[in-house]
Amino acid sequence: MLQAIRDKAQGWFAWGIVILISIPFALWGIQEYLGVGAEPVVASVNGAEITERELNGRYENFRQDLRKRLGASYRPELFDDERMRKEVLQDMIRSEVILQASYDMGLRAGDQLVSSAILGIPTFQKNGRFDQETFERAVRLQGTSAAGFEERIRRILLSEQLSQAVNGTAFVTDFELKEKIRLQDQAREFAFFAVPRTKFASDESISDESVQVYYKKHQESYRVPEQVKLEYILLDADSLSATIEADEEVLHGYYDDHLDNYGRPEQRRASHILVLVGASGDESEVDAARKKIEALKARAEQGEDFAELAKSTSQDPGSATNGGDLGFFGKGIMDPAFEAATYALQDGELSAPVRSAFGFHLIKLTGIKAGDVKSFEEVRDEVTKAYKRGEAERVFYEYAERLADLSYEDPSSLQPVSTTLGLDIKKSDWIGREGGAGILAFPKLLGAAFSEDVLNEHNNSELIELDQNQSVVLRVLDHKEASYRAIDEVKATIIAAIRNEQAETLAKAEAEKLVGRLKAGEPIDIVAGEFELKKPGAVKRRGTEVPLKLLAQVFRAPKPAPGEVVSGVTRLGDGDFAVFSLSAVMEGSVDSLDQERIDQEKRTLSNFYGRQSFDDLVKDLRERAEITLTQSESE
Amino acid sequence: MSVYQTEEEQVEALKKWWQENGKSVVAGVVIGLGAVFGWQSWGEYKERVGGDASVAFNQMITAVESGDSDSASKQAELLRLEYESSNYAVFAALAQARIKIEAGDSPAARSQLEWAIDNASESGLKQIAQLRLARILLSEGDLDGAAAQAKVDSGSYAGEFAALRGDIALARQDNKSARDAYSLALANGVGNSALVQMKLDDLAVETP
Repeated sequence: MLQAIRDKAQGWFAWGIVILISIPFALWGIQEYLGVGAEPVVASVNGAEITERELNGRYENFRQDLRKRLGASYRPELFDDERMRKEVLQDMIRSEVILQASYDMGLRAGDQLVSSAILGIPTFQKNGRFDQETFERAVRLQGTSAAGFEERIRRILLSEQLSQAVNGTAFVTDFELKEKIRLQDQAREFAFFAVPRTKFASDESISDESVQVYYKKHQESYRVPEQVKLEYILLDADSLSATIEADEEVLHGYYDDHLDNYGRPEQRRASHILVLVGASGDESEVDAARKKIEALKARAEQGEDFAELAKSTSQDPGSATNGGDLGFFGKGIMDPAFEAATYALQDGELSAPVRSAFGFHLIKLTGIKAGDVKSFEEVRDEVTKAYKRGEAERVFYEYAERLADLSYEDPSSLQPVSTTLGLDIKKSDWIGREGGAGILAFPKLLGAAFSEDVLNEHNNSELIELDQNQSVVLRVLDHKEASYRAIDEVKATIIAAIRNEQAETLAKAEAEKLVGRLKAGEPIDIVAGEFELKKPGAVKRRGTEVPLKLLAQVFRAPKPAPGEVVSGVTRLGDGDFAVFSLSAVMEGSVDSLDQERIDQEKRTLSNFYGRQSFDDLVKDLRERAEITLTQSESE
Repeated sequence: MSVYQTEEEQVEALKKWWQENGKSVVAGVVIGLGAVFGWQSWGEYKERVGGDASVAFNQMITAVESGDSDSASKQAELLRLEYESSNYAVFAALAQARIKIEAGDSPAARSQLEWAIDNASESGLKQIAQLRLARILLSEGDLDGAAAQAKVDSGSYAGEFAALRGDIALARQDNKSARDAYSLALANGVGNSALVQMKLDDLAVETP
């Protein structure tokens, strides 16, 4: 027969079949390489990917940090989600670039560094010392393993080294310190007088025509932006939580399922000897195994050391070498039959043979660590709260889904949704694009309210998730187009503004004329004339005795030659003008400083130099790295 | 492909092939395995050495930052001797430079930085060391030496180097060049822009 197959399997037909068959083999697993169906990626740095899940996790941490830091002043509605998410992503890219560069430079974080860092974290300590159990629990709460956590610490330590090496080695030279003090402590001696615009105010009448011109020119400042009135349905987990009922039975059940949260349950330590026999083993095998285990039991009862016996006879390779010891374990870990037997024993007692899925066991209980679980009564409030929170979350998601569906099915009204779900329709006041109070300030909500679909097509919005606990659907009740305030309404303010402008122009012309006289060589005492001359003497850069803008201008003026003056004019904040005449510059000197100030200046300066060098370094590394953002992130 | 008539012939052909190619096959396998294991143990070696060096580096930088210059100096020396070909040795040289400057020994600081420039494998570290060297030369009054090091005018360090060229020009009392250099520094971006702006303002001239 084989010969017959061989004879026929020739020619193009056979080859065709072989090729067809080989295709699936050749392409098997190719999706792993192409990334088809893999997690969505938001960015990649030299091929290392940052997934959407990582970004979301980091962003959530960032928000929680912010909430903790800001406390009561945290206002989620004021944050622009998209922008912040982008910033977090940029930050992640920066970290990745630094990490890769550090690795490429041959930097590492040794085990010793990692372990001493972990030992030093206060969260993992009990009575001031590192506690393994606390560590493991805390790490598990963060959704990772001890190894995973170590890796994270290792990455952090690794990426810190470069900045330490650059920032920590920065210094300041004597020249730099001298220069900085020379400028920072510099004082300038000058005299000045103000030319106030009130001196040039007139009450001449302003023609309607100029009002008209002014109005046209500044029309944008008389604009009233478009506004909408909204109606909306708000779904709020907190208020849902209040409506949830919990009876005794349910609470007890919840308590039993979550014992771990209310203390440490009892743990037992046992040693065992295993004689393997599969669940499907036939009767003779089972009998043989049973005989064997009974014989072992007899030997143990006659006084043979259990550990020795386990070492030489147990067929559990994991524990045999340890004399059968399995260590401490809680409920829900071992095979049910094994567990039941273990929990029925007294400390030190030997069990009868026990049949589990693996075979026959002989169990010796070697230790009991008493549990420390709070009774239901003690934690009743806690349990109730946790249960309600969990239920509210579940109900919240269910409602959110139905809210989304119903408001989509009939996009012309919120009434059916409200009736079906029993949720109130709320109405807002007039609000513009800048938003209103409370939830009406969320950029997401405003974006939806002013969107084409909602504003112009008069449809219900999609379900808008404001944060984890709040979602909303809205529609526009009424809309006011943007408009301009009428000219008659604003005439008085326009006239005042025109008069002010005129006065300022005149004041400026006068001030410039006077500066001209100063520059021609006339002394300031005479030029000042009716204006009040002030002589503050030598003023330092940060002096507060003269107007800030004037001082800045004086320090930007050229230095006068000995015996001469340099004069100038500057506009003060409110539209008045100041004319000054600078007569001397006194440089600052390091010699006049005490050691404390010198040290402080050095520290500040070297911090600047260090940080700048590191920023330059990172910028350079980033430019050399190949960074790609996916479409939605780069917009 | 030729077809053999009998099993004996096939065996014969195989034997012949093995005699001709056997050595190269064995050699190939040995070299291949050697390369794989060699590469692996090289990787492990690098991990271990890097890890050890990182511990020493950590001790050094802690000493530097806490101002314990004696112990920092010793640690740095150790790091440079024991891990000479790694970038940790460059870090040690940078740290030594700071310690020496703070002790007032600027020639020693310079030689550390020169060593760092020659031995850094990362171009960014080289530029940082070069910038620091030039700043020391300027402070010592060696303006030509400083100018020779401060010629970098592109890349992300351009701003800092331009600010330094401004300082050098100022020391030469060439106010015009100083103004140009400071303006360039501000345009390229510097960390302490308020200070550079202050330097620029201080050189103002009367505008006609």
